Amino acid sequence: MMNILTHRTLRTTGSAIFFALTSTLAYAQTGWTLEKLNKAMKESGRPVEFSQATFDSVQERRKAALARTEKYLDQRFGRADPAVLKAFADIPREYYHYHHAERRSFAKDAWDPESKPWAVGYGSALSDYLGQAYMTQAAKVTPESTVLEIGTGSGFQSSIMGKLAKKVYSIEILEPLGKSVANMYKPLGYDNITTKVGDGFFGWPEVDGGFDVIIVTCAAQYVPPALFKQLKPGGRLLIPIGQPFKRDQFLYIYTKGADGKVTSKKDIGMYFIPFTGTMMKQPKPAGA
Amino acid sequence: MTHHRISLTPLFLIALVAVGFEVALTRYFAIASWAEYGYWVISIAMVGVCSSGVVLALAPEWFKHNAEKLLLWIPVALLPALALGFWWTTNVKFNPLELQNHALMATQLLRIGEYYLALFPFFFLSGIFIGLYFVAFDNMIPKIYAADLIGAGSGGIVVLLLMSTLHPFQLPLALLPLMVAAGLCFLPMRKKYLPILLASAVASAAILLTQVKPEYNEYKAISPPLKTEGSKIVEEVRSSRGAFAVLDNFTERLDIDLSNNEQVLGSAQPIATYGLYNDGNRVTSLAKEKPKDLAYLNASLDIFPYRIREKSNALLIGTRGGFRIDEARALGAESITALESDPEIAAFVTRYRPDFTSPTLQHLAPQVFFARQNAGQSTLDIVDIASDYLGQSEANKHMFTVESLAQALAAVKANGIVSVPMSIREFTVYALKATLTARDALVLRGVAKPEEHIIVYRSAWNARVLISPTPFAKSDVEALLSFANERSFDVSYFPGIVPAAQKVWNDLPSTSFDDESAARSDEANDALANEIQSALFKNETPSRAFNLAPATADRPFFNSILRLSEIKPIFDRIQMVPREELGVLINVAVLTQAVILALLVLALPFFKRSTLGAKPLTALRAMGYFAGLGLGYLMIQIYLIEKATALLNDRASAFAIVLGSMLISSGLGSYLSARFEAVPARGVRLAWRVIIGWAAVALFAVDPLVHATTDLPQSAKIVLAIVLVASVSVALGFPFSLGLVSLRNAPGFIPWAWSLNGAFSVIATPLANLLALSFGLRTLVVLGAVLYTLCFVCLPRTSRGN
Repeated sequence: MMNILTHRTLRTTGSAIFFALTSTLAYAQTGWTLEKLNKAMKESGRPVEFSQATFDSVQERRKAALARTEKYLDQRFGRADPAVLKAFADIPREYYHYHHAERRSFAKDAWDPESKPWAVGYGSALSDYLGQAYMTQAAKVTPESTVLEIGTGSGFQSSIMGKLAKKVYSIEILEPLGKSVANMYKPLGYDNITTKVGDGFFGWPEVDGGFDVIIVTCAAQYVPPALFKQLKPGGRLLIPIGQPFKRDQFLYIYTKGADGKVTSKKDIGMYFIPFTGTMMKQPKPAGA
Repeated sequence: MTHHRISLTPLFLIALVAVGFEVALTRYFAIASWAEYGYWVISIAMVGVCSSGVVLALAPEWFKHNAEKLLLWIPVALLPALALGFWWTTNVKFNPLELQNHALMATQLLRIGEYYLALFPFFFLSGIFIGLYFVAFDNMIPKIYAADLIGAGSGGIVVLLLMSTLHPFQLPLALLPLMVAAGLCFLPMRKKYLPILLASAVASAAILLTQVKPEYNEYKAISPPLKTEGSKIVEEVRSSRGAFAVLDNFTERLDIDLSNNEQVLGSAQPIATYGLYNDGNRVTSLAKEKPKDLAYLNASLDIFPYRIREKSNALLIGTRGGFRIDEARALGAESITALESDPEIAAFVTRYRPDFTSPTLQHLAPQVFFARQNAGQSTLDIVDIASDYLGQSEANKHMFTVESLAQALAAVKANGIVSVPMSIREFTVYALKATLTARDALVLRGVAKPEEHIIVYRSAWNARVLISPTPFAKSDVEALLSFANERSFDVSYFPGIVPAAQKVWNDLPSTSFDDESAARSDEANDALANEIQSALFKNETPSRAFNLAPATADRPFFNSILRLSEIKPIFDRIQMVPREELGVLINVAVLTQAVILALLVLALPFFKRSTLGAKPLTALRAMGYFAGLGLGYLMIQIYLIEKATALLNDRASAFAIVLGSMLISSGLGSYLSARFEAVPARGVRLAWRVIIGWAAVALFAVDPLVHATTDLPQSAKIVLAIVLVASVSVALGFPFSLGLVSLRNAPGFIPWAWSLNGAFSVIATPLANLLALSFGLRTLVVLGAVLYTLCFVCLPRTSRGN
């Protein structure tokens, strides 16, 4: 027992050190500052001037939130994927804390300790970061992956995918939201994300070769058939089912076999009470 | 100041407006939020009314002295109270989804508090207005109570009628003239009164017209498609059944469950359609044109019965916007009868598919269709219930009861199939409950080994339960396994199944509130298969939290499966609870709040004995009496609403007819009870005898009556419902007014008793719902009879005894 505990402690500590180093390095490289945040906000068509105090308090919370994310993924999957953690460390979440319908920033609330979902307008939501981290790791994105996201939402998830994948395509059905969020990638230098406003039902057939990962954030009684056509054999299609805010979402993971037949896995309790409840006690999802 | 006579018209009007506003608010909540939360409004309203009774009880002499002045000016104040209250209500940023998230719950509870603050002034003032009549004119109590009840009953009916012409958000505006009319009844009492009254009305109308801009909640189904490029509403229909809208946008398609396998689906796509929404919830798809290509059908979950019963005579219950008729034809059905039981949906389908006419498409409840079939003529091969039927209308739940499925079984040939759909996207156990209900239907039909007559297959999100009067043949099972394998569907049950031997295409873990560390393996699991095995052969159900007793005519609530005894683990994991189950939790919340309110009202005599002016024994008797009346009346009312829904196959009509006829009849009863003012005990005894007699007959006669009259014309059924309600309601109007007459010697007690009665009415509504869910509707009749017996024993006697 002692050995197991010791091994576990060492591994967790080791991964924490690795994560701390990589995240520090990442921030050292990107040099994220208040001035850059204000500049990016202005360039994305959302002119908001943050104070240094707001910026500093967010950065302070960010450290704790990233540690929380790592611990969460560690416990949920057995081991947090360092690439996922690095992506979360690199993306300034406060930039996405913006209500597009009301043209109002709530960046001051970014990296909240409770990991809550936030409304971004038009009925869309910025999901809680633990849930997003979970889904990102479950998607098994690699640097060679081409990813399709149906439902751009706040733009945070596509930015995360952009850090992990070769290329990301994202479709938003809500016209005003899609147009507003489309302006958010360039100021941060994210040049491997392409978005459009339209119907995700037909996927993005113009992309040659299809997709390794497809994330669908809304679905009716069936998964749009075109999406399975555009999913490469062996590819994964993820659908979080459930409404924003309710925190009852569970994840359907569809896998396309070499013969074209599709199997599905219902991963219950995707957002179950982080840290204190069920999720921590459950083993990693099958195939994740 | 002494008061002898006063016009009862203002009282009638204010009671009408109060109930009308209450009903209008439930409509507002149904659209802007979710219908379940509209129910909360009733309790908010009653908090205001009960508080007014308490205030009146604390200073009865002051109110009596100032009654004329207050009665004059309250209508003036009620106008802005209604307008500002509604304006504030529409501005509360309440998100019901956040209430199911422990991290966000606190903020939403505060917002519910905002609703209370917004609506309290109106209901408090209207309560004071009505209560003043009782306090100041206690020589007219039976007539006052009659006017109050008849006004309240009329309010419900008036607003429900207005729904046919006005958008639900405009209903409060329509009530303003009635309040002005109430004020005008007091003319000519003050010179400056009329301009002030009219100014108040104009200002209130201005607020409602210019400042109130309620919208659909942005998390309702209608919201995203409304915000897509080029989206437009092509038709709107307003009715007492809700606000219907037909949307045209690129997201609207035929919403059916399809295989994900390219080999089956090929290049087929679901058809682009219009979307039909009711109160912002998606009801079904509507055809843009007659569909030309049904190639997607080969991949559909629903088609299997047609594969093994070719050239069938099919009965479709629900047409999924008419598309199911096209599909049944394409699947080779030789004869099709399609039923749309909801009149609005039937009208929409007929408008958008004018090529479907009777007898192919009929506006008929399935129970009526079955009743019209001659006994012994089982001519159908397939009875096919549409996948969206259960959620389309409140009355449709009756098709998913043991008795209705048994009717369907009686209507099919010996090898015919009844196909029952069930969503398993959120709770797998719904399909298990459907299976158990189907099993009991087979037993009711005299089948000895029902497990040989059942097949259950499914996709990841939906299941189909098939039942047949004769055991399924081996060839049927082989055909199913092949059908499912081609499409990556799963077979969860067939006679002789070994679940462990079945390949699982769509992993389905069990849903449980019980075990936080629910075991999950890397192996794909079919929880439904395991649960059906346990339930059919070991009589075990998967979780303590679920009550999976089959739905019956006496307990026709298919979706409400959460067990109240497990409320703690359910609340701890409230995020798991689907919308279909929210009603139970809201009932519990309202009940909790109502009990607190009632305790406060109950405690009043112990703090204000001198003011109330009655002895402790009288207080205790009065407590039992008026609390019992509040509880008993609502027990019978909820029972009647549910039975009228079954009779009329329409929840909205049933609600209006029962509410209106019950209150008006009770008002009439109160008026008639004046004959017993000198001997109230005699009047109460007479009423008690009628109520007990009615309850005894109702217990044994109402269900057979509903069943036997299914085939009557709707107008005859409405008359029958009114007769059923009125036959007891006149007697129900006696005890309250005669109880108040008995308290004339203790003036403070009258508003307190009125308040107490109201508080227990609030308790009774959720309590009756919860009891009906757990024990069935007949329990409410029994309890109602017991409570009225208690009242008879407790009748307070201050007139003679104190």
